[in-house]
Amino acid sequence: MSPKTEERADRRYCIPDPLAKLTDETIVSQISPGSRVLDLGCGNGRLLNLLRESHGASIQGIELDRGAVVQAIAQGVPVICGDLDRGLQGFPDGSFDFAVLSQTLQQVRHPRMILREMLRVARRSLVVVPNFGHWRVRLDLLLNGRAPVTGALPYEWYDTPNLHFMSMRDFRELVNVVSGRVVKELPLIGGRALEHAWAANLRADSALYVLEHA
Amino acid sequence: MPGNNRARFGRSRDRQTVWTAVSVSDGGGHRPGACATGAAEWASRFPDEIHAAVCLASAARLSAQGIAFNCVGRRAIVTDPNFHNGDYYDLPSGPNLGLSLARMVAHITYLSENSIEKKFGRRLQHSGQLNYELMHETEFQVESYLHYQGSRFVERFDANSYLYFTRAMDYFDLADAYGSIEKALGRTNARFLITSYTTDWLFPTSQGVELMNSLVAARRHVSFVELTSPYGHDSFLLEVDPLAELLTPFLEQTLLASRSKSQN
Repeated sequence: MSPKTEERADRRYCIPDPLAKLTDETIVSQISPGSRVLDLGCGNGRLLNLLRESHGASIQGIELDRGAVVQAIAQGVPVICGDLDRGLQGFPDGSFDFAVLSQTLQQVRHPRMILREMLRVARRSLVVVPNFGHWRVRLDLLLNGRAPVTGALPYEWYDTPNLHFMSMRDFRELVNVVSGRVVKELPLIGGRALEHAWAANLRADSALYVLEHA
Repeated sequence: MPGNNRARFGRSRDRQTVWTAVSVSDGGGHRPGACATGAAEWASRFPDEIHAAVCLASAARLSAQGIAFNCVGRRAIVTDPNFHNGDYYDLPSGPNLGLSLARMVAHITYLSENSIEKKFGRRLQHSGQLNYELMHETEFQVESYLHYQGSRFVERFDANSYLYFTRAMDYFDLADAYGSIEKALGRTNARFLITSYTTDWLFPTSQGVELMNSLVAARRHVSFVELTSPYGHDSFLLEVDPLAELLTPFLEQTLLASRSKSQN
């Protein structure tokens, strides 16, 4: 972990990011073989490469960071260097079977627009969001009065890519706002994706949503 | 092109002309890659032969603005008294003034406001002060530079060829042969790498994006990057390092993929 973790002397609770492996596996399990998949914020193309190898998927990535774009190209992953906040205007309706947005929604300026665009261009959307409704976040705020941080992004509130904080309940509300429908909700709790979990909004570190246009 | 004139030049089909015009010398049958405005055209014409298409500062068709500048260039040539309807090869001089003027205009379109300002500003060529001399055509450094570019061009380029090349560029439209850009690109099997440049106003980013979007719609393999550069359209010749950073892994991966495909 980065030195920033050590600097956090106040021992704030830090929402652990689900292991990349767990997130990847959970996403992959929701995608049918041979699909056309768009990964928004695809990073170095790890997930897309996996989908191509294991699922024979037809893949396309979008990534803002140039360094990550070069890494994706070096894996043979087709990637567009671009800003999600500019939308996906050029992509025709329904041109993808799946659109994936993993641990990125809280970092974009216009989450509502991105979700609408995903529902437009893809038959199904897979969204992984951190759950700031976790009980330790609530407790931390209650006892210490500090804003939440996440494991991979242990930044201070004034210097963080996390622009928005949402809980699972908040996210479900946004899905309604953008005329989406939750097909499936998979809370990630203690390193596992659970189909049925009690008090998920208190216990989940993050959650995977499968969405369709309502 | 010795001994050619417009009549003898022949009326080749324009599409064929374009294709020939962009054919970088490649005598063999194997075309592992192409790099020109016509790269996308090649990739649709030869879907099985072309594995990698690299489109730098490129487009599916020339914009109205591009046609407009070509129009001025051609006008300069055909109104040159030495043009003689294209039959100037046996005469002491061809339409050199017209051709150099065409080049001067075209050269401006390859630069950017930013790069031309940085390179020349309002600096003077010969003295520290303005001469207020109307007929003195190279007072500013930028004037001297354009005159030089124009006169050098005449030494190495034929005016009739210039007319045909620019016309072929005007006529070129990837959508023509197959109904739409998307259909044309849907025929391709190549992997595409597309770059555009922030200050290129001749082939602006919007045109690279159009190519990219059509490839996505056609479910093709496409990577796209807009590179930041001050050099206008010329950026694709000058920004070597940021291009190499993309091109090297792109070509390596394409080669790997086409090798493993041919083994299966």
